[in-house]
Amino acid sequence: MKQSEDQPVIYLDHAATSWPKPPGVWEAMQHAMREESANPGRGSHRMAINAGRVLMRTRMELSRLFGIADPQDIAYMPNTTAALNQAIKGLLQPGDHAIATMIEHNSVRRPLEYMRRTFGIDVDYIQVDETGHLNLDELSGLCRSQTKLIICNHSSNLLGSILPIADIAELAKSCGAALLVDAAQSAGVMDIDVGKLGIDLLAFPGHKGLLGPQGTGGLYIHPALDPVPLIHGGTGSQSEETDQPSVRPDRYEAGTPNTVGLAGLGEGVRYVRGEGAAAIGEREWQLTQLMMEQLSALDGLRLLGPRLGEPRTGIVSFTLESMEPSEIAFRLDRDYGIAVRAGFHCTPLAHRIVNTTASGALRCSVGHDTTKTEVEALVRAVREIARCTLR
Amino acid sequence: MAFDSSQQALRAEMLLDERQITFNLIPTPAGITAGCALSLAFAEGELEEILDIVRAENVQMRGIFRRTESAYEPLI
Repeated sequence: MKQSEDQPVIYLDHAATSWPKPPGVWEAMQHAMREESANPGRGSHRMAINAGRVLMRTRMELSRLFGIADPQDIAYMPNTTAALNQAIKGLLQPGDHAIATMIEHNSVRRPLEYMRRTFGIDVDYIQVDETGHLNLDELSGLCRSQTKLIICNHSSNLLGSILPIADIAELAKSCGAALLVDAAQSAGVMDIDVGKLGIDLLAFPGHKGLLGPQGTGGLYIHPALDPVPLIHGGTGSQSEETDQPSVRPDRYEAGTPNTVGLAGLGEGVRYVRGEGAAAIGEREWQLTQLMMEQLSALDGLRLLGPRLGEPRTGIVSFTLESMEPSEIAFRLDRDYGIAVRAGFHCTPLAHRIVNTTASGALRCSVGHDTTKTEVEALVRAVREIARCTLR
Repeated sequence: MAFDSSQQALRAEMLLDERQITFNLIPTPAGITAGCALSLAFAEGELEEILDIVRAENVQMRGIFRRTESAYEPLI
């Protein structure tokens, strides 16, 4: 079977970037580009003010989605990586200790390792089992008076497993550390209320579950915390001062923002709030269960992460004994028009846990509009590919 | 009412719009702050209600000024 370029794609790479977006997203971006993309915060003419209103409206939508009392505690960032860097490098100082899990993305591990090498920050990584669950007692045992920051993902980008944020937050509180949550795989598909869960810093992407465009995202910073800004420059405010303004969000938003992208993100969040993040997550979970049930019948196929019936986000990763993940991904794309991701998913320590360090894994991730038919088409295609290799 | 951050000013604008309070959004006069900040201009009779709203919602302002013939006199 050969897929031509103009045949529709079955898109199962939502964990990297969601696609397609609800029409309101690109309509809002087009409107912003045509009518409202003067420079927000730099000028008082109507287009500049309208651009500022775009930013404010999206901030309001985000604050309602995440239960954030003051929208100004959300700083826009170009992606989750930038948000995590701002939190980690802005808070940790020489002598501090940080704890992260073994299943963190490189956007946590690399800044932490940089801080360890450059400033002598002490870092511990907590072991997680094969299904992605961690031992809270082990975490508790690592906490000490110098522990300033505990960092964990809400859901693993390889395993789809979900960490118990409220329990980790309680532990962080008891040892006087701030909790930074990487919501790259949970924002838009799980209910997140920063107050109820006890989250001090929430790094989130705009382009995944929130259905906005690439180049958008943000960091929620609890009002009691004051990380040092990583980017210094113009904000259109307190221009006479040589330091960054103390007022939020300007403190963390130097430079011209992505007004057009944020207009789209606002519509994406509005769509998610309309559907309900948990309802989207439930639909995605049902699809993962169907996928896992059918894939598990194939010889030599090993599913990673939580077992069938257990909670997970819309990620199903697996390996096939007879073929490398990259080869399967190539054939799925070339012969069936199915978009998935093969490789290491920027999380090398997680691969150690599930023994896939040599080969990586194939990751199929469903989204808000994925259908049962598409999941069944994937399983059929994988079955055919697997059968070919056995001949 | 002057703000350091235009986002804080636009947050105040949104809150006052919701309460149907009459005001104008204006560039902050240079005598109050350098930058590209925005201010809300309103009649003095609205002051108490507006203060209640911005304080309740934790909107951060630079201050409140009364316009005189030659200058802006700080009130708060």
